[in-house]
Amino acid sequence: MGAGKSVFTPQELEDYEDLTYFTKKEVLSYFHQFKALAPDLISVQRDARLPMEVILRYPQLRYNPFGDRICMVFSSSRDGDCNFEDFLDMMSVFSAEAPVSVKAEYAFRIFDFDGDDMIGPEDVEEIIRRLLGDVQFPQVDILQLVQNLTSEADLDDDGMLSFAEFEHAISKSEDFMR
Amino acid sequence: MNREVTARKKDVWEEANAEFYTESYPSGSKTPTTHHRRPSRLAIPLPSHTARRGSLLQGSRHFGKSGHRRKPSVTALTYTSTMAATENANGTTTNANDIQVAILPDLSEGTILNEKKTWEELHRIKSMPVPMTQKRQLKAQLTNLPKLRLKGWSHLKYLVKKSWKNVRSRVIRSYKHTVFLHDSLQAIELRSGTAIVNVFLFIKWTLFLNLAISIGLIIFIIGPYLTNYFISDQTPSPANATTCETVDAYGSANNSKPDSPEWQRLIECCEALYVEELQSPNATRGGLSTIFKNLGWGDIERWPISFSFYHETTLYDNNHTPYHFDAMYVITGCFIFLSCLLLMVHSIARGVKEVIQLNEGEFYKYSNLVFAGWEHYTNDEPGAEFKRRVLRKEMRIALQTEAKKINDLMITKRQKLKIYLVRLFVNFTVVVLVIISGVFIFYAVEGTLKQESKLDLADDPTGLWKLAIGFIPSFVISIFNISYPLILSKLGKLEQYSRQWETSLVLIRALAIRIYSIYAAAYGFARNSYCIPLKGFCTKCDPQHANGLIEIPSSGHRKLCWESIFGLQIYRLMIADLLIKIVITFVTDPLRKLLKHCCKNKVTEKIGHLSFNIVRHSLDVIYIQTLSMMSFFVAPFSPLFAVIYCFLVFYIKKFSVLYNCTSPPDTFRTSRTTITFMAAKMISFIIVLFTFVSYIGFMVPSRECGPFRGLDSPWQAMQMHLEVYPKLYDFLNRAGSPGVAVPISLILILLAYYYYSVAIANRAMVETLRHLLILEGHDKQYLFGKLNSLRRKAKPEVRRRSVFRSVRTKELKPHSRKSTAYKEYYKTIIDEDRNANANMQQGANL
Repeated sequence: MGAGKSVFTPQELEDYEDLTYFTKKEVLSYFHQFKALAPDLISVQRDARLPMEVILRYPQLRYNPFGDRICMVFSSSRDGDCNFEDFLDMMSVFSAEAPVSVKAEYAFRIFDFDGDDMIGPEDVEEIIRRLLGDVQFPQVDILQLVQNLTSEADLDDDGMLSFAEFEHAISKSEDFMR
Repeated sequence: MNREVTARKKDVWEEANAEFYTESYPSGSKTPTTHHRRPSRLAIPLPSHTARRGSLLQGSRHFGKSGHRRKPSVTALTYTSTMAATENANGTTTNANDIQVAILPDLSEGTILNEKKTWEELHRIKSMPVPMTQKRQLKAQLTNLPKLRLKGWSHLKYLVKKSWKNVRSRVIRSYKHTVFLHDSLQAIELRSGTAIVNVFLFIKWTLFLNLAISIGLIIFIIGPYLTNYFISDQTPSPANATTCETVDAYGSANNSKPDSPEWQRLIECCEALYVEELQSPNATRGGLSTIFKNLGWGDIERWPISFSFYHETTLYDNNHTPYHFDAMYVITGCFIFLSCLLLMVHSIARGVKEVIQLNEGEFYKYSNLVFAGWEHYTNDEPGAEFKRRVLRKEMRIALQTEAKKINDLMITKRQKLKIYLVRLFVNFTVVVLVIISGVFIFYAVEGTLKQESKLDLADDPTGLWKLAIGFIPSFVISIFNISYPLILSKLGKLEQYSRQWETSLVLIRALAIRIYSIYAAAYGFARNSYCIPLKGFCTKCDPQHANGLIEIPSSGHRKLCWESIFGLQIYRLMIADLLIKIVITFVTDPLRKLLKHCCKNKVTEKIGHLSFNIVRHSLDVIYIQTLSMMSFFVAPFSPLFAVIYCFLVFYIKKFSVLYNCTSPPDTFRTSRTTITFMAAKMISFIIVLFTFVSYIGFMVPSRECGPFRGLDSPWQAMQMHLEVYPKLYDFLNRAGSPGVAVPISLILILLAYYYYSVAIANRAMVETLRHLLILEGHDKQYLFGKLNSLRRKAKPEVRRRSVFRSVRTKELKPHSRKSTAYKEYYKTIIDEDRNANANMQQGANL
């Protein structure tokens, strides 16, 4: 831990602890994990941006069907490359202590594939396709699922889910809350 | 529920000005596959878009996961910032900029922040969805502002709040990260879904519950006795056994006071009998005691795990202050039940919330399925594959349920009749099966007890035979517990209920069988070993008390120190259960898997198809909890046994999940099953409560062992000690009388009715709000359409922007100023456009 401490100034560590849902130890351990992705790059320059393919090698992201979207959303340069602070943001939102509102916000951004601030039917279809993986359902079934979802969660009947509707739907589903 | 809502929506659709909507939709509407029409996109960014995301709710949501407090000041702030931001709105493209615009009013208002506000602001910054660099900038800005120190009372409140938050988060963190279980839970979650993890969380909860109970028992019962034992070396020294010829010589004691000398002599003589029986080599007191003797550990009934260890009524320490052991025993028991009830109520409250959600049609199961998948991190390919299969299965089941609902509407009368007959038949079969199992277990218990008493040392020198026989009832019970759910689920498929109902029914029936099996065994034991004794005798049964249900044992005597034997039986039941589980998980299941892999035909496929049966495993946990709570009074170590059992079972089941069960679980976890689990916990708790109450209040304790010697019931010990404080005793008597209970129950009923009517009123309001929302949505779409058509008419040469902005609506409140704000805003735009058109036309004309 001594080696890790010398990488960050106390002020930075304090900031990280205050602004994420982690303790200082956890911040440092995540730094070590981040470094393990590309040790030669990071040991030279701490704030280097790692390209998306390297980030996606991180075990938790590798098999996540939304891995690329996650990188895009959290990347501060908007092109999928993340530096350590973006990575820390990502882990902080994934952690168990993050409140539901924060998770809902980021989940909305991740699910919004076309970037228009609404989760439309195509977005939902893309989500379902990614979740299903290799074995796909027939198109009819998928459309049925999309329609069921939309009719459940869409409150103002415009055919799409706005953020408020999404947040409302999340609050009613238990799996998200855990 | 969904169909009703869509039907209602459609009604609303038809009601409100149909002709307006039909013409206003742009012709280039989206693909014909989507049912809902897309609203027309607006090129102008709207004020709600630049408003802070979730700002209405986020202000009240920093602390804890379920913030329901709304701060009116925050909402007022955002409404004004929404209106104020109209001038700045210039097609900003990044979200970060929007949010920064909305943040600034907070800090630049010039209010001087104090410590508490700073702290809260810091929390708010933490939860903002901006990149870390910006957050650090904001934090730097925040810390540079001048701060006031709080003084006096508010300072104190702030300190208390802060430390409470820290303590709470630390406690929750340590519970979640309990060292030996957390990693396993994570491994299981990575591998399988949340439904399975819930079972393991339940095991963990039960473990901690039993740990708490055993700590309570250690503090109040076991601890004092043990320390006393070692301090004053009290071994029961009964009267000389040889002078105690026949117990019947001590006539019928008409005075029932335990202090009278005749009773004392009787009790001493009974104790002598008991000691004599323990020491005789022909003692037939169960397999466990034989094992102990053979291992050279002495009498099991002299060990703390057995009831007869707790012999003294009052304990005296070095200063001769009395510790009323018998009264404390009863009080501890009651206290433990009360606290268990409170804990259960807490976990049931969550279940009730889900029940209500289901009933209100608010359980969004599709959202649950689809949206919960984003952060499910899995570390390896098999885990991801497993999760995908689970998800596919759940989606298929959801679709099938929908299809089934439609089919059910079109069912013919004849089919209905057939189905009802089948259901009746299945119910009948289930009842028959349950009765058969009960009878079987009862005879097994009775038979083994008789056999045990027949086998003496000559036939069975090592005691192993006796041990084996003794374990038979436990094995029989375990076999029934395992095989019946399988049979029941097969039968359940015949009944053609919906999946939820099927799962719930299987659960209820399996639970009934489990509890019934425990009580059948207990009844068999009671028949053999317990009866209400005559007043002047140690164990001779009183024929007056025998009615049809409660018969007296065939020997006419009850067993000496029956509580101790009963406790040992429970221990044996637990051990046997654990052994069977070990055998099945580590021997049978892998063999079945191997079978599936080696010879590929249909039979072996079926045998080898192992899936984690959530119902069965949850019931296991409820079963062990029932056993432990039923018997902690006669076997004080049983909660501790249950802790060890839970711990081992956790790892056994973990092995089963990770290595044996390769197919996704069978049960579809819905709210119905949550209700049923909750009901199962409650039912088993109530039954155990009845047992406890009947034991304390109505069963005559042994006269030769235990702290309640000579009393009519353990509760009498409490009464005797309370009589010393007549006022308290009087008060308690009055409190328990009908004069108090009836008004209290009336008040409770009135309260329940009040809450019920409040709930109805809320429901009505929700409906109205939903209606309003839909109307507002339609208004918006209409206005968009009009706007677009006007703009198209006015500026045909302007290229449509490729990036469209959409409307971000926040949760609308009943008399929402925002909706009128929209309408004002659009009216101004439309007027502006019209004026611009008019000007252009004039310009063109000129």
